[in-house]
Amino acid sequence: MVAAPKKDMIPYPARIERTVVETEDGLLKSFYLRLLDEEASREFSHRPGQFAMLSVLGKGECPIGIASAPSEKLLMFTVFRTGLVTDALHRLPEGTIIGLRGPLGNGYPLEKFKGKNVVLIAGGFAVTTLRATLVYLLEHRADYGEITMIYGARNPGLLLYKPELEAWKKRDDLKLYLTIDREAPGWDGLVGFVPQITEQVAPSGENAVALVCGPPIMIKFTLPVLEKCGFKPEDIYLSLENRMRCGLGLCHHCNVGPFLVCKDGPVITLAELKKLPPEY
Amino acid sequence: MLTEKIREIAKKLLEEGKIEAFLCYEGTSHPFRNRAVLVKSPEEVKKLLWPSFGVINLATPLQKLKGQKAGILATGCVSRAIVVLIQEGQLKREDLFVVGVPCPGMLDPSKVRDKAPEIIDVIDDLKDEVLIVTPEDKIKFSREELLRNNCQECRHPVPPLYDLLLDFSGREKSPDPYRRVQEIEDLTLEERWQWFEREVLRRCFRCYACRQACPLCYCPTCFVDDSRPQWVGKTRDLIDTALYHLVRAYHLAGRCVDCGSCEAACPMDIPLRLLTKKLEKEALLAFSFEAGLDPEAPLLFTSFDENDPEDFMLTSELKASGKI
Amino acid sequence: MFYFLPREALKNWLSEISKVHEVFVPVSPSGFGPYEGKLYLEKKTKLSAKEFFLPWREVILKFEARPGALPSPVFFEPVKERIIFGVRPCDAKGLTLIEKVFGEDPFFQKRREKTILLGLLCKEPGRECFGWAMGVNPFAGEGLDALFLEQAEGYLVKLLSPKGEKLFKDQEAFEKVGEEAQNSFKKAEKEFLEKHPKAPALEKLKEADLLKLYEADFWEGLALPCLNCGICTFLCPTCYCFDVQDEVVGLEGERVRLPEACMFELYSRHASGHNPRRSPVARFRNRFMHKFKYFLDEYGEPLCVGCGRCNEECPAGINLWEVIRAMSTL
Repeated sequence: MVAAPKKDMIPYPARIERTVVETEDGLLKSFYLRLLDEEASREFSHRPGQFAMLSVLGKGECPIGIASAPSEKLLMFTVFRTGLVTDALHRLPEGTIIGLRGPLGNGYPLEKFKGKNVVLIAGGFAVTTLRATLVYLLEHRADYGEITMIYGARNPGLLLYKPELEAWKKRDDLKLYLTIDREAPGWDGLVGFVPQITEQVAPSGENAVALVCGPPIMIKFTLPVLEKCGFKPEDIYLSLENRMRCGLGLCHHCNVGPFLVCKDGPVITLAELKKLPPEY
Repeated sequence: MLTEKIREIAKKLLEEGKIEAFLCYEGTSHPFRNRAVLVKSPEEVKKLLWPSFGVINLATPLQKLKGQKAGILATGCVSRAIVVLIQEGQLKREDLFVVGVPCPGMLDPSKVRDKAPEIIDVIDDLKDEVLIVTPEDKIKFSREELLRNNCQECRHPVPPLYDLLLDFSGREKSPDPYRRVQEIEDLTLEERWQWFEREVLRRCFRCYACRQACPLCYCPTCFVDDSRPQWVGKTRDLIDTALYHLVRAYHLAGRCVDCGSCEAACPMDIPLRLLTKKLEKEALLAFSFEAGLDPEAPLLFTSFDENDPEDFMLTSELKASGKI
Repeated sequence: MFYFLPREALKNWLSEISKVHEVFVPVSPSGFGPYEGKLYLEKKTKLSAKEFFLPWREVILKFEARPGALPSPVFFEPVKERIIFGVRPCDAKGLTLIEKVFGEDPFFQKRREKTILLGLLCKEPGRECFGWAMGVNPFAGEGLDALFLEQAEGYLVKLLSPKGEKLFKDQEAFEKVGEEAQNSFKKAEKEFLEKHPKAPALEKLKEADLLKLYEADFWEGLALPCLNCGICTFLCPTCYCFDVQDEVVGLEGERVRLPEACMFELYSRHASGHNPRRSPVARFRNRFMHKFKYFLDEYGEPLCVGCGRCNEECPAGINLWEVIRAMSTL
């Protein structure tokens, strides 16, 4: 199953094999990484929903969700350029060696979802770990019931993984709803915020789980819709983010009450979340 | 007694509804520490007292009360900090009811602490004498000896801004406010650097208590906390520590009211105040400027006069005057 | 097992062991330093022995500062085994609490392994101490390898671990003592515990509802004087949060771990600027909720040994007991 994280805070060297600029604004870039150490590479096994610390020596480390599925040869991370480390990362050319520490965190309990319908709801660039999840689910298609994905972005230019989205659209074993916030030239798909589209799609909460990843405002308005659809708080999974340093439950930056996002999370059910102070 | 006067006026203001809350000090279980407290009802005013150890400027917690009509006990330096905060748009005059006190000066916990191994109580007559009570004895000290350095060097014990001034006779203006600064100035350049390294840089562990205690360090993001660009490293590298203290001091030039909160907050007893005091002296000598006296007056750094002296930036003149 | 060391033999013995070990002692009221003849044993020091285990600067990696360089790990490797003498039992207990979290952290563990901790009981509790109320029995010497009890003629030494036993096996300055001396230790312990019972507050805190505590209206008032400086966290023998920073000088780079304070705005600020604990009161509350609720719930003990340093040193005059009292009487 999933390897226990290394406790020594020493990153594996990883080579940037390929980069893909994902969005028109250039702020999102995917990094395809290969671990240099063969043994580490063999042992590295993760679960969708986990993350890793990417490190640019001299700049620092930052936690990024793993966007590749466990079966994929290269580890993939889609990084939003926003801080010191991600800014440095964006400037590195292909072939550069960076550091990688992980996999960290709990990930989605996909075994538990077997036999159930799965609804993935993503907003903006938070789609990354849900991409990993979807790839996994499609690979194990027979184990799951209906799979629905609702994915929204501000405009078409900000949708990630476009070639894959095209391929997924064509599948008849996946209901994919892509939406953008406002009408845009050349867009003939759905228009509206993710909560509204979720309401229209109205997935049933019967024997189903929902995985929701997105900006706080989207989550805030999506949760009541899901509850109305009959999803129980135990069946709604969220992924938290907080500032963190170690990823190992030591440095304590990421605590939400007694819950450490790095170690106890990042994935948490709504039922668990309701027991915590609202510090996320 | 001053304490009685404070309670009386706070009670009256609260009862009359002139204020929603009154910010002052209370006692603690520690014999030489006072703590800021906000009382919201007339019944609570019995907590309030004149603090002999009110070393953290009340204008610091005052900024947490934005939007409330609050009364505040103000000594000279609290009042001056309020003036600067009004000038800089951080506080609204109409939100405040300032109860001024001609200040008798406050005692320095670190001077008191060293007087006896165990101290149970400190009795301050607010004039000449302080009694330090130990388990065995009561020891008498001259008040002057135990005063905080900034109080000894205070140029404005009487608040420049108030709505009501308590009837009390405080300290006289200090005749010699720059004695300690002068001592450092008299050192050679090399000795001054050694002093800075020894007294400041090697002792500081960057807890930023000085910044947090300062009523005028209110930047939403301090330059040391910026990450893009990261101006200052975060470890105890002396260069970074030096940068922090120098930039902070310069940022307070023409603004610092010498309340001594920074020095009082420092867990390592670093004589931080001397840095800002030096800049206060420069502002006074070069521009006849003193911070926090008049809310209507322009700020030092936002006013320019053709006749402003410029010699301080001319290396040749500084060399000629022997300053460098 | 117990030994006895005559008072006048202490300094001589410290010099002796300095030949084989790296010996640190309290050198002044502010803290510890290498033993060079100076010794300050009157009271506990401002900085605790925590800095030997979670140091001000722990280099964890070195690297050449150019894109693509590989990091090389750095571990604490002292040439000689360290002895820290004069550690107060509450501070050693603090290390055992940190160890509950850092049990698998190689940096902390290396330092623990390579260090012998020799404790010294306080003659009297300090004015701000309340260790017993937090369930600390100083005579138990948790986390220590040996514990010194000062008596009229010298020090009675109780051995507490194999490491301690090994050290004292062939120390000539010490004499083995019999049952009588052991009884005097037990008597002192009994007297102390009778005078200083555990506080009922902890049981109340265990039972308290987490969210109700969090939402209590006393936080605002308690936090008003707080400056959100980090003094209490830096001086606390149980606060363990750390920051990680990369430092580069020329081509030499180091990744370091350094103490961090949850009181700082930066502590929880995301790269995006969002901060889940933006307000000063939220940060104040988090510190005490961590110590007296989150940690207590998880490990059965509070993250506090009642050393009183925070009370002694808080520039704003905040008293921890008042916080505990408010939390436990909700």
